[in-house]
Amino acid sequence: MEIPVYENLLKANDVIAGQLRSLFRQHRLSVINLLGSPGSGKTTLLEVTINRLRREYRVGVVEGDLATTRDAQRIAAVGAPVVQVNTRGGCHLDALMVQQALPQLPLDALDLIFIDNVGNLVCTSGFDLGESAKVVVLSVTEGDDKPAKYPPIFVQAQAVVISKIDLLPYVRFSVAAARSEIERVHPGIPVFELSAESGAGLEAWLHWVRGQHGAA
Amino acid sequence: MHELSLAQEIVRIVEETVAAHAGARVTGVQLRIGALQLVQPEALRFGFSATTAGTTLDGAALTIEHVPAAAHCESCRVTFEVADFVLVCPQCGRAAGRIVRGRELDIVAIDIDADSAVNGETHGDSGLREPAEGQ
Repeated sequence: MEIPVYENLLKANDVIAGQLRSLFRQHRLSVINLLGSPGSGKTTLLEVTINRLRREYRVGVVEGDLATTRDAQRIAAVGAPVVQVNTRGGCHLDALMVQQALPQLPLDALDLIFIDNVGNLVCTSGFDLGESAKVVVLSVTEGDDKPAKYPPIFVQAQAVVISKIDLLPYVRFSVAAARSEIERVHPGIPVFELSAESGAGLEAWLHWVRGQHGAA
Repeated sequence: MHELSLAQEIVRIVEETVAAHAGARVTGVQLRIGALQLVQPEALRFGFSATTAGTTLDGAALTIEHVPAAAHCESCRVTFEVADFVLVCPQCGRAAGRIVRGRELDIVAIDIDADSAVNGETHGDSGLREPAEGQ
């Protein structure tokens, strides 16, 4: 005898993600889920973004790492409210972890939240955190073939940042090739080339972030 | 990806669903899994056996319907199969496809042993078994 069921296996996470989405809407918060390999430059990008936007928006951060509070300390040093989640081995943040961390942020006193996800180009793409947008950070030291080799995260994202462009003279990374690969798996996705170190290309990225807030 | 936690979620949903059919023995679970979910069927089966070993679900088989990924090109009005997440339309050559199939990750049905449900056989400590007439 067959009992029909129709249940999605990711439902448990998605139910909580839905609750988060409502909560964010209620507080008129835009939430950006920052993804990318370990060392791609997510946290550094966040530091400069917070510094550049501080006169316009009140930014809060949810930090995700397996261990340590190092990234939370870096964010605190640039003056943004931050909460550190340590997954102790988990390779991605999930909606429950974010839900449990949020009470430590002053949601009524924020306009924009960044979730600095666990460094991972695979697993983090599969977990809805209730965000307004996912952004993948791909550094020029990682190779221009990564969008072809690790497509799901590029398919899931709403924007891509090609970071560390100040290092282009020293690495065999073709921006054109990377853009072409990204376009093949996610037609039309905006791509921002920048360097947090030199400041090059930051303004276009900030303009996009401002647009996200406007859309909240 | 994360086949063990998926297996645990399958077990949780199955147990919740069959609770209404007290005593039914689950013989199988039918899944529909899209190619874009990156699930390794063998890893899922392994995770499922590991999770169900020694429980009332021990021995239940997973049937997995694989759904290939497909995308639709609005300009050409064609739906094409997607390999490796590449969304380039085979007709116009533009990267313009929108994914329409391949994201499924569903439990479709649970197979239970009809005899165990009808006769009211129970397993474990829960429930009473009424003596059958004439015995």
